[in-house]
Amino acid sequence: MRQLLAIELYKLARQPRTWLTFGLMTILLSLINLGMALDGRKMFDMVLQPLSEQFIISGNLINGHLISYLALNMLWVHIPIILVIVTGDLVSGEFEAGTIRLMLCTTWKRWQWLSAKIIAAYIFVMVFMVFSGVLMVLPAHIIFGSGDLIVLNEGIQVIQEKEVLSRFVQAMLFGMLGMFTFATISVFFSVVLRNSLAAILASLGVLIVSTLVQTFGMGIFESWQPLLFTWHMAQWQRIFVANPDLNSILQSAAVLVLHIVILTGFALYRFNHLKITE
Amino acid sequence: MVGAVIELRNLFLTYGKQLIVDDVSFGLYPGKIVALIGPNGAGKSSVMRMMAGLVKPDSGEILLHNRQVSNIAEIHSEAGFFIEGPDFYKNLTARQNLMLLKTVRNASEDIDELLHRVGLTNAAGKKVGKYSRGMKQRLGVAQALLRNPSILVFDEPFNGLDPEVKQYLMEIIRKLAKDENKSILVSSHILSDLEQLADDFILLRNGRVFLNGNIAGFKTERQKITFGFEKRPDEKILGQVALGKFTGTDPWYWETSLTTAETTEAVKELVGYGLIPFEIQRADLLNAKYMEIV
Repeated sequence: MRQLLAIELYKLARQPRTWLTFGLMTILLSLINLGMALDGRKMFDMVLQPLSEQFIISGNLINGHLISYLALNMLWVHIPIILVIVTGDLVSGEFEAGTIRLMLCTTWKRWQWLSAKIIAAYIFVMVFMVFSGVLMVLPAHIIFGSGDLIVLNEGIQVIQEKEVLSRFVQAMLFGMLGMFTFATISVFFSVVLRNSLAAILASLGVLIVSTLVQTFGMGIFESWQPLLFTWHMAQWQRIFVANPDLNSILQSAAVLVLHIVILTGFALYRFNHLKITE
Repeated sequence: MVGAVIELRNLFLTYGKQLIVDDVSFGLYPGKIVALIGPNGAGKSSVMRMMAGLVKPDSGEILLHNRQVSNIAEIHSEAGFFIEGPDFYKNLTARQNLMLLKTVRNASEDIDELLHRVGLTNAAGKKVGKYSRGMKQRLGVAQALLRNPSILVFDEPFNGLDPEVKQYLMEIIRKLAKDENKSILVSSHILSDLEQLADDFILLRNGRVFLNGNIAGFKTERQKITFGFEKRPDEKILGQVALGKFTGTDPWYWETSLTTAETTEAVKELVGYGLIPFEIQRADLLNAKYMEIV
């Protein structure tokens, strides 16, 4: 299996689209940092004006922590859109290129090959998330400095400076699980549809519909929310409250893991029974 | 006779409700090249895909050294496949592609040696995306040779190749059978190529084995032979040639029906009468047979 995994990682590293995702993330985060450096102060003064009438606010509110938190908020829907460029093509790309025949004419079993692909996808997601995390935190700290994190999240939350980084790491780890789930959805579509564009669109379709229903969040849709994977993915926000509800965060994590297990199972079953006619 | 290295028994395959392969059975023997022929949609590629495990047969069995194959990996440990194309990772060089496959297949071959064998040494560092069709076909043969398999399956290896590359590949395949005693199955639409290359043939029609046999056996059957002469030959002299009854298609071209051995004798006789043919055309044996029955 290690050999297969090494090969899959090598193939990922040699694909231009892999580097495209890192390039896109760099551009997005650079734009956020640039925008904040140029107009951040004005924007925050406007947002904080009602608060400053009731509270005496002292210290550096617009700091690297806040910018990182805002970037995370802005990008949690964009990250899957970028990731799917790679993960949606993972299996279907081999069907389209015809290389699937080469890869399956070996002594490895099909499930081993697909498992290696899925693990490679998770490793790619992990590296991408670490890269994004570093890019969210480091430049923001260099440009805006450090300080306590004050956010409006289920009320005003003040998280002390020394705690923020560990919360950020926890949020990124939870976010990683969410991205694993989305990567699994896209690999599943990649196996079933055998066409990269269709797999990418289908995965994005699921993401958009799920996010819309979650955002609407009223009436019947409210009761649907716990069924939506995006709702569970968004639970990383609960880490940024003074006293995080660990139980509810772990429950969401379990739901995401369940999604991964079921979708991987379906993908493996389907792939094992496929007639490779490409 | 040595037993079959690999044997297909009563294979059936359907796609949806359509029967693609209908009770196909045959075997491959060491040192022999078998041609799998048939019109488009006859089921040639499907048979090869079943052998490669890309498609699972609905029923039937595959035997390797007389033992039923329960795991397709058993076949892959002894067989090399060249299935339609084949396609490679375009953003990698030929050497990188083979290195990748060498790792996946746990092979021990020297990649440069393999590339040299198929005449790709000078293009080893070139990205496969920039390869011509002929170069890709050669690389396809090279990848099939990884792990030094005793069985080789080539699906349409001569498709779209210029005559020079085709001859080169044919020579490689011929040597693999004759010098290395490999059991080879080749499919192609170009029947004259297979006639030159193969020992036996299997003709598929509507998914069934319609006819099979020995290509050398055909050579004992009479075929249409056309002789072209520089000077208009005297009909009386042609009439004296013991073998064959000549009919003129035009004053310079005369047809008759002869076996391969009889053709040699007829040429000797003609030369003896001072009639030296500058051209002798023989209808492709396999093609003639194919057209006769399809």
